[in-house]
Amino acid sequence: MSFDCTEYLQYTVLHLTGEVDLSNSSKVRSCLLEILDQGKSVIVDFSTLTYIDSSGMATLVEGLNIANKNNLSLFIAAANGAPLQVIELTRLNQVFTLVNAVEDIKE
Amino acid sequence: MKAKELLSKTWTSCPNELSDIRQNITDVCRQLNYQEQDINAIVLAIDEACTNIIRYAYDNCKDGRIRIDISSDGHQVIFRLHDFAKKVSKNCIKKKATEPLQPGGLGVALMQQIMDSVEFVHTRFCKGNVLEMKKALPKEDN
Repeated sequence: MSFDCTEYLQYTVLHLTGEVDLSNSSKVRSCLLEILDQGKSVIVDFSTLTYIDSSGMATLVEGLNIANKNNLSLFIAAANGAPLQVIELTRLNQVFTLVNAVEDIKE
Repeated sequence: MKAKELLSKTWTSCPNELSDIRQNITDVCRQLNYQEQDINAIVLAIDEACTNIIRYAYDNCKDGRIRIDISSDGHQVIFRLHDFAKKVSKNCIKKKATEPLQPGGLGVALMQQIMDSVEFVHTRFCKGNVLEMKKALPKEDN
C-alpha cells in the first residue's frame, strides 16, 4: 500500500493505492488525522485502491467523526470494485458522501 | 459424501501475511467458480477473521500461527481457522447491533453477513480456537 496527498480547491486529497489492511491502516490513520488536525477537509481517493478491510474503514469512520465535530468535510471519491463492496456491506454508504471522481466536488 | 480438501496451510500471525492469505483464498474461490463479487466477500470475511485472531487471540504478537483448512462436501465450503492462542470467549462472535458511525464490531458483522454460518467449534483436545465458517457452493449455472 502507498499513499500520497495533493491539494484540490480547499481540500487535501488523500490518494490510497493498493491494499489497506491491519498491516498498514495505522499509517493511513496517522496521515488522515494529521490532515484533519490542520483544519483541512479531506477527499479520500479510492480510484487506485484495490482492497480495504474493516480496520481501514474504521479509520475513515474515526476521521469522519472528527471532521463532523470540527465542521470539516470528508468525502470518498471513485470507490469501485472490492472497496465499494465493503462500503456497501458495512452500510457506510449511508454515512459517507461518495462521489464518482475528485473533480465532481465543486468548492 | 467425503469432504474434499481444498487447502491446508499455516501462516504466522504477522499482519504482513494477510495479503498472502487473501491471495490463497482468492485462488481457491476461483477454482470453485464463485462470481467475482462473492470472491471479494469471502476473502473479506476470512481476512476479518484472521485480523481478529491477530488482534484478540494473539494480542498482536507476530509469532503465533494461523492454520486455514478449506474443504468442500459438495454442497458447501467449510473454512476452518485454527489459532493456537488462549481460549477466547464464544460470545465475541455474537451479533452486535453496530451503528454505522461506530468503528468497532464491523469485522464480526461482515463475517456474519457474508457467510452462511460462523461459529467456534469445540476443541477439547487441542490448544487454541477453531472458527468454522460455511458458505454454499455457487450454483452450477454461474
